[in-house]
Amino acid sequence: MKRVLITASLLLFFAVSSFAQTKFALTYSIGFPTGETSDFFSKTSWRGINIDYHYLLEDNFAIGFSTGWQVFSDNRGFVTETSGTETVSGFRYNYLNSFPLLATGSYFFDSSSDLVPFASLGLGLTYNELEEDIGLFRNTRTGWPFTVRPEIGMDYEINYGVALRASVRYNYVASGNTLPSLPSFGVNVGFVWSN
Amino acid sequence: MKILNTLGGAKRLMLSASILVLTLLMGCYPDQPEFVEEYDVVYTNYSPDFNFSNSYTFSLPNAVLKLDDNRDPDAPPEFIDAKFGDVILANIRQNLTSKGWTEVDEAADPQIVILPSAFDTQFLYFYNPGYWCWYYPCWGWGYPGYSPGYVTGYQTGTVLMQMTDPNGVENEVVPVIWTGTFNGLLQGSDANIIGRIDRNLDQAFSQPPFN
Repeated sequence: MKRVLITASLLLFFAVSSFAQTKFALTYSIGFPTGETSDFFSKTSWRGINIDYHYLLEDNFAIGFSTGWQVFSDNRGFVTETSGTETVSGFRYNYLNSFPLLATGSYFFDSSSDLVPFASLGLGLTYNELEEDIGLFRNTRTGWPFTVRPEIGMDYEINYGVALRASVRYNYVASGNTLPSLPSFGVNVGFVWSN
Repeated sequence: MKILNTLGGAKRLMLSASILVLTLLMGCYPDQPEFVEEYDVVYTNYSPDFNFSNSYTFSLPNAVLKLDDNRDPDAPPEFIDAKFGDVILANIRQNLTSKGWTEVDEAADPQIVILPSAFDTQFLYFYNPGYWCWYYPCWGWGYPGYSPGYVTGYQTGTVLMQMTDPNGVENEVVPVIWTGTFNGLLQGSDANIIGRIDRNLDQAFSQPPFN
């Protein structure tokens, strides 16, 4: 499943990148846990990267895809957890590695200006790997939950074909077979290259 | 890549540098434990059918049995080093007497028999009960109302304490009414390991049903 999605994404990427106007964005992402994600992580994630590709069907509207990697981690300290007659205690460390694979539709409000606000909506799947460590024991849960990701932001052109990008995203990640819903907010800054 | 080919040299350099920096910032497991103590874990489980709030008489062997799957259960028992074993026994003794329990000789028909053991390789809770035939009758074990699960490990040490109720023996199966485990890395000085044993066994006796 994972291999098929990655292959399909790369094929789409190479197919649409060979003609017409395109934008390629590489951004650094700061993640803020929200919803059930806050039950596992209280800390901001400073480890994130996004790759976005836009293929402009018109001057203002583009389709494309978005992927990336966000790492949440949290040292929860010494915890004692009881379930029924069982009790476990030890130092708890939680980790979430999140890899979205989304198809996107984006609207660029004023493509003639240096400052171009945009709004985007991504739909797809996110490969989530949630790990809860206590002592030497690790409980790992993985899945490909459905994901919806609205985004607003702006591109500011600093040179011909190169722009700065700043955006805010909400990553709604549905619950899966074994995974809870793990939503988060993302603040992104980086560069956009256009041809 | 078509996209990269369309970029100028400076742009390619900037893109490559950005990817490199961002990749270096990543890592699947940041915030790993720094100290060996942070790998210690204590697990307890018990029979919900047994009343732990009463005071009981109990017996303890004089040493902590060393468990080894490669050793025949019928072979003479082996014990862990007394410098660690004595700490384990003293801790169990101290914790139970502080709850009002009374230690008696195993020949004095104790209400509870404690079986302390330790092992340092991969192992299951459901080890051969025959390892204890030198200490009390060759009973099998039953876990009334609960399942103790299992632990495995590599380069780890585990202290396993089982509380058995000899008055509840049926069909030569003795109820194991409480199971306490401390698992951690076999690293550090003797003093460090002894301190961790003491601290973690105290933790085991502070968890349900003893809290």
